[in-house]
Amino acid sequence: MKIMLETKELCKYYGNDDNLVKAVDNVDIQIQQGEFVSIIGKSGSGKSTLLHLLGGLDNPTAGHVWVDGKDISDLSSAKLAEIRRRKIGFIFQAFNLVPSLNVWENIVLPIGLDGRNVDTDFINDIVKTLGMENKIHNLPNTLSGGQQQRVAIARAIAAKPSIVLADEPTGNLDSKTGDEVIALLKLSAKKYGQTLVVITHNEDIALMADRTIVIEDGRVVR
Amino acid sequence: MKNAVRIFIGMLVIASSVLMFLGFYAIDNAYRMEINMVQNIAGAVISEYPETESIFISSVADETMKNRAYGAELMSAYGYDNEKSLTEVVRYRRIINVYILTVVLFFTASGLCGYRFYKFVKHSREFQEEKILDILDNCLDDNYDFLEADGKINELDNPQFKDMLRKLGEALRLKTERLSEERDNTKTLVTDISHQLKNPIGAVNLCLAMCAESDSEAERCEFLSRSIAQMDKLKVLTDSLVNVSRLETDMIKLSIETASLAEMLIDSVNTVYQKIKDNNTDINIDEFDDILLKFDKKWTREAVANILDNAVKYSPMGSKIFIRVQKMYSFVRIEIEDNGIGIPKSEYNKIFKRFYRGENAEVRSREGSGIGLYLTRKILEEQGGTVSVRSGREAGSVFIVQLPL
Repeated sequence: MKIMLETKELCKYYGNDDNLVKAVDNVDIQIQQGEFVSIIGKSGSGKSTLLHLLGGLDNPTAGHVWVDGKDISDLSSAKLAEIRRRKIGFIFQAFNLVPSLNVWENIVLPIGLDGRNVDTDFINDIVKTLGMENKIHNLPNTLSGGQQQRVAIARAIAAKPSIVLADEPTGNLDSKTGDEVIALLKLSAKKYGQTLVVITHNEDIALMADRTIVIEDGRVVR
Repeated sequence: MKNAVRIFIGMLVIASSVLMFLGFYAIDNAYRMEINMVQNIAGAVISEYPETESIFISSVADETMKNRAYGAELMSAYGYDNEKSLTEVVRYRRIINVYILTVVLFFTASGLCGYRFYKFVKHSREFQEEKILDILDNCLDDNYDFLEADGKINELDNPQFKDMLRKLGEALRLKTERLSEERDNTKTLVTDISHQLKNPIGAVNLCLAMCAESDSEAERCEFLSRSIAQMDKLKVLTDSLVNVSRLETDMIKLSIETASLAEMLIDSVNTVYQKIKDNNTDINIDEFDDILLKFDKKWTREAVANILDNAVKYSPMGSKIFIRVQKMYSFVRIEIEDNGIGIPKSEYNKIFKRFYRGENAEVRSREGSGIGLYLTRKILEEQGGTVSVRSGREAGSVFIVQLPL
């Protein structure tokens, strides 16, 4: 199986000498295509930083990150932006929907920004899979938290990325809705053949994945 | 390809323009000479006979050429008539030669360029065809490097070919990967099953051997009954194994139909009814509005029954099991809570693995194949659902099943 995400001796340090903070400290991980991996750790364990490094939202202090075989550790921000647009879909705790655009527009926004054509059939399929087909003209403020996160998921996968990175996707949701959202992510990742990485501090959520990586003080402990 | 056509058309335009220009130049030159001739004649005659000036002016401006016939008759006596060929005049011959030369030159040049162009197109087409054949060859060798961002497929010009070959390559690569995965899966399955069967079969063998060697009737009975007990265990194991292997090798197709969730749950409870009675367990299903769902009733019943089986097995006598159903947004959420011995957090994921029986001695002492929950997860996930476990409110465990609406 192809290795989709890989890191080697990955480090991200902030500050220096006495103030040195080792957010990510020598992390080696390999995630295969189609896997659903959860990365679990307490607050401040470095898991969000790790996700940012994996997704090219930040450059490492040392070490390497490979996304679909390509070393992204030293790329320019323009190049990184291109890779993020083409290969990765992001989902965050705070949904981050554009309040003045309706559901459909929010979903296709990244595709439009990339100058690509919208595959309407595909988007309709995603919307239906996520149970939002009756809400595509709604504005975000008329939707519940769970519904908004669904839209965020649709947006993340609409551009057909090969990797989906989710940072605490259930953080703002009650536990039952959270379970549902994870089940949906799992379902669509399987359906569209994507590699799914979910960061969470919630063990129950983490255990729904195929494999769990435990982070503590910036290091992988399990 | 388009560029080559553009260049060729450009050259044709240039050639035509040059020819047109030359033609215009030649004709203009002839016109100049006509004027020079008239000027020469006018100069010659008027210098001798000034009174003829007005005759000259009027005849130059005369468009009807009414005196031409007389003049032609006069001049033909000197051989200056229409039978005179253009080429006999040196001035004109020069122009004509230059013109003919230029036309020939341009014709040759165009011919050469055209030929060059033809060869280029042919070469480019051959080049492309070679590339396509190369890629198809790679497919045969299971080499899909051409699909990479910097791979060979980007050297193709024709977007339709590019698209088709990309789709073909991806589809083939996926198929090959799935095939080898399946093969690996089957290998592990066969290994696991044979491993699992060894112990009970060995035990039966031993019992029967002891039985045969034994002297007393009582001992023989003892070993026989032990053998029978082992055979029962073996039967349970092989039944589960048959289920697992069928599911793994896709022999069982889940048939998704619309069915009642409540009915499935009740059927499920009935499946383990005997064990429930034996253990004096109390099963409570919280009331809920029945939901018609698209799922495989038979296999989902099996899946839920496996969970219930475990719940009863690992609960003390007379304890309660709760079943709660809640319709969510995209899924139906089914919670099955027991007050049994519970599951340590470290094993939450492991219990769903094939043949896992737990670390706890008490769990291991009970009968079980380690397949029930594995089957449950497989069945549910095939339908787009999930199953996970949490710890119960006080003791025991809560199994959470989600089925897509």
